[in-house]
Amino acid sequence: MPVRVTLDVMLAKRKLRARDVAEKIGISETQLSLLRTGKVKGMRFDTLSKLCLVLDCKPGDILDYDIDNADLDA
Amino acid sequence: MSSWFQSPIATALRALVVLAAFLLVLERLDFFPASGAVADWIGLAAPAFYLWAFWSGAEIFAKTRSATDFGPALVSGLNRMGAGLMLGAWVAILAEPALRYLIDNGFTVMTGVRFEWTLANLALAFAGLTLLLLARRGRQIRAELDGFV
Repeated sequence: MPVRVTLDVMLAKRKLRARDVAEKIGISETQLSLLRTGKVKGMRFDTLSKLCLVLDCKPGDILDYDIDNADLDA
Repeated sequence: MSSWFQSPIATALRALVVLAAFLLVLERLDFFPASGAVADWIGLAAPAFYLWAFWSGAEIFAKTRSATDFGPALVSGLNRMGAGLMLGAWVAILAEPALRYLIDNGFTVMTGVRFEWTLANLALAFAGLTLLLLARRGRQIRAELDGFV
């Protein structure tokens, strides 16, 4: 699944530390780290909303998608 | 406050279990006072498992009273309840009749297997199996959900 989490880019742009963001949105640093490295099955809408609020961005700024026709077969 | 008293349903269920266990033992003492027959006490094996299942059910109410999700307490409670019902049913179906027969004849006739195929026992075994499968499915769903942040 070529959906990529580009959270690192936004964190760098906003000059925020992962630890602070994790604390603000109420998840553990480990969970945020797993999210940043794309090692999760998915992201809840409420987590996405909180991230967007804290990072002052849109969901598209955190997520990216590389077109892959094989996704239709998955 | 201990989880024992947090849920009235759990407390009531536990009280019921203790009372039922007490009455079961009293029943054996009253009705078979002098015989001392071990075979009579074997009849307590299946109810003991059923009471364990009830107790596990009480734990579910005690530990998941405020929780809305399919948490570990619910999964483990369902698992133990299912195991209790299944074990109780299988003791009632297979172990109890066989043991009773062996003890009654003084272990002189060791051949043949005795079953007590009643609809109630089969229904309890099926209910126990269903709870076990539900608990297993719940654990899988929990693991799946934990993969979401």
